[in-house]
Amino acid sequence: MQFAVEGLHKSFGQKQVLRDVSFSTESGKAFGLLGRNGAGKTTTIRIIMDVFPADSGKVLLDGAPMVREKINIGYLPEERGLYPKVNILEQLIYLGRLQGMTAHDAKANSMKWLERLGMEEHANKKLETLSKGNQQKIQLTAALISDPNFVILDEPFSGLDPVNAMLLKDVVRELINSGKIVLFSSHQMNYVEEFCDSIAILHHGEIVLSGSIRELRRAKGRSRWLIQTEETEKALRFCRESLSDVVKNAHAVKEGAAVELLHEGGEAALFAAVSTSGLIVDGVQLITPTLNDIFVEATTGDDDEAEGSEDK
Amino acid sequence: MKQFFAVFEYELGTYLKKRPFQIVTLLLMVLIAVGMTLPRFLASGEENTVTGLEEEQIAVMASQDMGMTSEQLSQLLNQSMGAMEGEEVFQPYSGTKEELMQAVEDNTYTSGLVFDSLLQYTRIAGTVGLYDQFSSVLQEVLLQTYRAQAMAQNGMSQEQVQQVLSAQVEETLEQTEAGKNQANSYLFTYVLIMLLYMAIIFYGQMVASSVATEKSSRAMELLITSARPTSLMFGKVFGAGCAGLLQFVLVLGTAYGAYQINEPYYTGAMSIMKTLFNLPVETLLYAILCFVMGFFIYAFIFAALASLVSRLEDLSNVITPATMLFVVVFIIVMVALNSGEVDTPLMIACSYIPLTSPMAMFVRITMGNVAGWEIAVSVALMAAGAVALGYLGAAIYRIGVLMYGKPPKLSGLVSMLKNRQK
Repeated sequence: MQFAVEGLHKSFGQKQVLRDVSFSTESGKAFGLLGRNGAGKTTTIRIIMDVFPADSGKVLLDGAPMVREKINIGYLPEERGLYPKVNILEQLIYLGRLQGMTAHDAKANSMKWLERLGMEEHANKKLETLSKGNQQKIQLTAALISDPNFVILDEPFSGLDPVNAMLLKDVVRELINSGKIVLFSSHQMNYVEEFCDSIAILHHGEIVLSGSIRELRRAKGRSRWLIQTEETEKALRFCRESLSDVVKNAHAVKEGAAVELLHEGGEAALFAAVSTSGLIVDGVQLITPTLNDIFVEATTGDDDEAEGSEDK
Repeated sequence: MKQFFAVFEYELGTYLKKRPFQIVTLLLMVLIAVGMTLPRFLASGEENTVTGLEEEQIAVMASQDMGMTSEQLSQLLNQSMGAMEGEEVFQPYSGTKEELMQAVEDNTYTSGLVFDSLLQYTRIAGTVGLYDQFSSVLQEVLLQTYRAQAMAQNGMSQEQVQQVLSAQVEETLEQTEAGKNQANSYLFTYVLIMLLYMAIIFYGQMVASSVATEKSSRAMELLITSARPTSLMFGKVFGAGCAGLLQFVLVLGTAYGAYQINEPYYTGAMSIMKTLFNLPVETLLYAILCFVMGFFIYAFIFAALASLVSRLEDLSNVITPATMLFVVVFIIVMVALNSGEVDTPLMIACSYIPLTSPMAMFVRITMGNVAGWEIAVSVALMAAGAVALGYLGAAIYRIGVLMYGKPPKLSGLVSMLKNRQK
């Protein structure tokens, strides 16, 4: 299956929340929708879930407009919430039935997922009696109960301890390997890097960066270098005084001085200058940007404070 | 439809499984059963108290120029009053008025009567009860005696006097088809309106708090992304309605059962209950119809309003306007009911507005003059109103459930609804 959104626009009253948002992904791939608080992630997800329509733009499945009734979408909302005072199995069955399952299938599938997540012993407890991490696993069960082909996970790892996070990672990997579309939204870049092939970064309702993580990295890739040295102070002074036409932003890091090239292909000049500087240098090395770096760079700039989020 | 039934079943099941709901139902059933059985004990108790009670001793003094001695007067009063009430014993008293006053104060006598003539007397008594009827009964007896004496003096025979005094007016009531005997229907109308009012407020708020709970627990986000708002809205309201109706049937059924068992004891003042339990089937059906319509109309409003709050604490603030509206309707209807004029222009108008008609039309059906077509139009409007409010409610619900923070103003809500229609 091919999934895409094209040119989504959405305003609430005077406030424009989404501006020309487009991205696409396909079965067996995980896609990361990233952005700071209030960037428009939840709004985008709600449009996909058909909670409200976009002002313009399309949600497409295999090239045709997606009909929400015809496809099951498993959804783990960022704001977790189920019935605190109701028997867990009972509410899972109810949610399964709302998604069109029979009571019997809903029960069987609930048990299957509860067992998979090690929660079967809690099936007949009230939700409020469980710890936060366990409640989260119930929430995940609720999202997966109808074995959907399309899963949206909004901040799935928040609030999980390392063991539970590992369990969830395995489940997410299974989902991807079994050919489902996984739409992933998170601030925790390490998880995004681990699962997602492609990402889109939303900033103030606009996609500021999108593509495969590897390409994004490579595009950013050759401008930041590390001068490995013990004499960090000296190296920094040298960069500022003698190399100001080659590099900028020289600053100290653990292993030495980090610099940013002013021009593409400027590394030759950097190597030459360093080798004749008289500094004791262990090496000059390319700094591969982390997704975190890319994210921070893309989402800071014109103003620092993100506006109040639309979903709060 | 599948979704609707899933929601309906879940909601109904949740209510029935809730401990407080079960306890309240059971408690109401027990209370009403006890209440309805009370006349059995009261009735037997009353007999005991009557025989066991000390008779009221009433001293009688006649003035000398009255033409009757104290003894004669006492005898007369014992005969005529004794036949009516049977509690008082009149005894002749000889002494001064002051001495009698003292005797009453010492409780030797319950009270004393000092007669100047048949038409003029002084009553000496301690506390006079709120519902004391002694004086009016006594005066009636005295008046009858006076009239009999006067007629006898004018040469009428004993039989003639009896005939004149015992004459009575007979009335035969023949009513038109649409005419109502308000005296007969007042009581059950009153009771049914009270029940209607309590039921609609109670179950309406039950729906409201269920919606607000889902919202504050954030279960809403999953619900709204899994099912259509109309399914959720209608399923919820039908579920609560059925739970309410079931509770009502159980409680009123218990009342009826207890009444049937204890029916022989409903005598005297309690026989008024007979009109309640023997109300026309037609009236009962109209009452159920009005309950159902009224419940749906208000439950949809309550549910929609409840979807606007994010915390349970804010719930009462938001639904107060709707509750107030309903209370005003209740008061209008009650005033009309008590005045007996239920076909005033205001009531006629009210009986066609779906928000007010469940109560107003019901009162007009039982107490006023309404043609069949008027009822049909009113019921049709109620049904249409309920459906329209259901869809409007679902639209508000859909917007409301995703809004957290301060509940929006009415104007903001309208513009959001318009936005959605685009």
